Amino acid sequence: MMSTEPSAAGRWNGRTVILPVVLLLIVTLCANAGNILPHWLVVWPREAMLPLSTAIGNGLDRLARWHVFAGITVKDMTRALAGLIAWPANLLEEILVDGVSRGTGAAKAEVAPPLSWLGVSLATVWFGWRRGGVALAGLALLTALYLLGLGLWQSAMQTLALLGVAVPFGLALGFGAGVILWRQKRVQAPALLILDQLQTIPIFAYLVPLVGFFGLGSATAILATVIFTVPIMARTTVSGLTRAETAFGEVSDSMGCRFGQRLFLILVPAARQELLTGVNQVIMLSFSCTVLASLVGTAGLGYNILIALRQLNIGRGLEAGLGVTILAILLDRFCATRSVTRACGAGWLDLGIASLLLLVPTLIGFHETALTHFPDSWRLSSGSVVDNAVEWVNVNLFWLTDDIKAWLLIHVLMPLRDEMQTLSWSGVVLFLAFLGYCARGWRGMLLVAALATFPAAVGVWKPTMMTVYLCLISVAIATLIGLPVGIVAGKYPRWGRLILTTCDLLQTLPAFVYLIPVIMFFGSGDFSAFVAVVVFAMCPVIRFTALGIREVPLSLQEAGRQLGMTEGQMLRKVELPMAHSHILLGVNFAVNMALAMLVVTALIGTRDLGRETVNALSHVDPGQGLTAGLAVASLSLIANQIIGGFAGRQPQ
Amino acid sequence: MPHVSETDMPSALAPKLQVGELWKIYGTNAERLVGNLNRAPDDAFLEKHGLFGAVRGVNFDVMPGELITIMGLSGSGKSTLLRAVSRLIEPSYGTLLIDGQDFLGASSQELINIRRHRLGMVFQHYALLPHRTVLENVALPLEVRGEARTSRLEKARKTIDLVGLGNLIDRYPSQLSGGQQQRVGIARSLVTDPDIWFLDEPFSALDPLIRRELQQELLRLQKIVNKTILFVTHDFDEAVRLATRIIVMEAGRIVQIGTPEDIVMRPKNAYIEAFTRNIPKANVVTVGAIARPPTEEVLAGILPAQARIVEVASRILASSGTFGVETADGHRVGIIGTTDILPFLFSSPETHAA
Repeated sequence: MMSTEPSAAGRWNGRTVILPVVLLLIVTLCANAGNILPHWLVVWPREAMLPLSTAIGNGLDRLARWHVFAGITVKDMTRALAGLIAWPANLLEEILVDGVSRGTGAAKAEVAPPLSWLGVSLATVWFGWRRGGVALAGLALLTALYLLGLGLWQSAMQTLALLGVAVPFGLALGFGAGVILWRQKRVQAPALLILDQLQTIPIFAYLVPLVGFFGLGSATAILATVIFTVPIMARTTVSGLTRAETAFGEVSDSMGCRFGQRLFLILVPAARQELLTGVNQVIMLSFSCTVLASLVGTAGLGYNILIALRQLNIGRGLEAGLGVTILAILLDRFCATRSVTRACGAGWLDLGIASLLLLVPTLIGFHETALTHFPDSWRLSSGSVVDNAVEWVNVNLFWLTDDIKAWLLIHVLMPLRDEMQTLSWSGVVLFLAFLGYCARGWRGMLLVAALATFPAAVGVWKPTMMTVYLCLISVAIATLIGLPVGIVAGKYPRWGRLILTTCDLLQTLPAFVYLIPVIMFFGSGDFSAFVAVVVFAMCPVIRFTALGIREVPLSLQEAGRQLGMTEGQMLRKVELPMAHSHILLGVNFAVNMALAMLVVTALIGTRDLGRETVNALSHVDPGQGLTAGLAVASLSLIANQIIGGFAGRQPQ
Repeated sequence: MPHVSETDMPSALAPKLQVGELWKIYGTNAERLVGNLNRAPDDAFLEKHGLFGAVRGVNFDVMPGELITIMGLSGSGKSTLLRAVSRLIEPSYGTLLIDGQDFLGASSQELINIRRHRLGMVFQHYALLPHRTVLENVALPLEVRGEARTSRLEKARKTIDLVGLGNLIDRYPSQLSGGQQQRVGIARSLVTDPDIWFLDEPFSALDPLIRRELQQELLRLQKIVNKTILFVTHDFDEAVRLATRIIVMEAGRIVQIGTPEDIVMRPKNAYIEAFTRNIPKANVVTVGAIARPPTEEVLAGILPAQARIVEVASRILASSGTFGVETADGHRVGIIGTTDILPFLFSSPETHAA
């Protein structure tokens, strides 16, 4: 720790004088833009606007109508492909939800009922017990009881039918892409960079063109989910295999392995841990897409959430939201738990017993419909309880929530918003470019400047600044709250476990679920969006701060204590400086999560980039959606460049 | 580097492994530049193109059953040499022959076959697969070459017994100590019954006591399996204790090849001498090497020429007389007495090699 201070001072030596001067100059330029600068430097001139939005729209349109051969257009082909993609999902849905039937209209007759809820639950619990012992079986039982009791079974099965195709598809594609990138060292770095950036484009943005090509329905939902999840799987595959190769590549060579043996016998098992993280991420991300999937006309738990959101029915919304979470956790545990039974023979026996458990209630279900469809009379709902609680809060705590809201709106949010709206684009670009230079040097400066100019040049400057304002204030508050909580979590393991588990849980909730209680308490608008984003973005700050504090080397802690430091001195002089780059990375993550959440909050009436993408969806205007999406992506890239740059510069 | 003659090796035997003018060169376009050269590279060539020679023109032969240690400080190119010889790294230039057959020119198919059947390797950090038990780890090379499950597990069990871990076959690597893990690594490299055994600093990551133990173990195993061994180490003590011959490397070149005794008695330069200085020479030097020309003194007894000083010191000191030194076939090499061995028993940094 002692050594970090001189070097930090040395690093800034040359700039200590220039820094404040330049900053002052830029801020003056920004604030008094109208008086000093010529108009075209304040507001990007209409004549110079790049018609990106219309260009994308026209381009996609032309592509869709392009004749591949003999009068068959690209669109015809994609529609046919959509049928192919939707086929397994429909089959799964028939098996799990609707039952298999033949014929149409009046001639329609049920050939077989869907799998019985009892059978599916029993088989899941049995497998849970065999794979993960009592804990996993308990979780399976709990999930089944929850979904059945709250009447979410059918929706949950519809979600599973969709994800039963999307998750394996995403995993396979991501793993395949990862293996290819791992082999092709030359394209690896740029390809990964592009994949990372793909992930920052909000899913809304490409939902519109997908609908154009693949129509409404499960094919588009599956494709959107897969596009969203492939990058993370590809990335973990590349890093897992690369790491395994450094450790075991020579061993596998020295044993004379062929490529397939090297990959599947040695590297994949050795990278198991990392690959499983990828699987976990894919499952979680896929589940978080369920609400978006319902926007393009698929049923499932996501649809329940969407309806609850539209009807402001907080109880039902929370129930469905928790349903998504618990299902995601169960599925994830099933994939992550190492099988307890290692012998080969037991597998077949398990499978036999499971099929028996599954099929017997289903077969009885031919006669006894109670086993096919869970009887309504057995249901219960927590909805009324939650609703009563909310009503109580609204009646009794109204003064508090409303006062907080009014004070923050009048004194913080609105002044900041107005200030941001008056800023000149050139001043902002200059300011960001300067930060880019400090963080990454000349190349960083040029990249940041280009990225910051993009929203102005394509005509989405105003909504972009709205997004920036909400993002800035939310991340600032999230950091203010998250930092101390993270420090506590890092320093005191007992609290840490509780806090980090809560974080995990909060992060698995689909973003939409956050909106429901927030709207109930604060109504719609900027403030609600702000609260939702703060809660959503707080988790990474807490997590990374705790990680940074925990990873302070024991030797340094001992050295500090031996010097007679107090707890406060330890924190200020040892732990925080050492955790510096971790904390910055946490803030970087928080910015990315805030940007993702802000797209979702557009549904409750903000006027930012998210709104543009949502509008694009209802107007079926792919150009508008993608342009706004790219603007969000460029914001996230700017944040990554600047914050990531500063994080990387911290002395280790 | 001139080709090293094999004076003390039985001439009837052909070398197991022959390394000729081997180079490993790093740098931008290194492969292409060397490829265009059509002759052995040299230092001028490296300098001209700004290249770095990790292994520079190395020649040596290894006879069957020999245990050769490659010795040098870190960065001397010893690990790179081992990897170039085993083609884990492709050499830039040179020849490699195994049993007189071209190994460097072997196709990737042949290379895989040779590795599966004739080469074994032990790594410094064990490189055991964490998700496999000891038994499964040791059976892996057999699995790779497609042996049936029962036969490979059977062979693996036998090999694990050989390294003394018979009771731990169902453990995972994380449940073993470092010494035990390296025994598993040794078993894995021996399970295919290779001819040539490469060991890359196998004991460097271990505690000194465990290191000693495994060195003894290696010598014991070598008596049983009788492999041709290339053993990389940075520990001169280890090299002396194990080797039939030592290759000393510096900056990618071989500076000396010889028996431990050769190197201790006649270090070629100051670099090597620095290593030998703290070696208890009585452990290395044989009485044959320091015997004086025979005179008419009364002999207290006869000593075999290949006996190390430390082995016979107590006899010499106890009798205080002079001993005759004879080779196994009864040829008198010379005589030796207390005054001759004292400098070796109490060697200090100043009194090195007579």
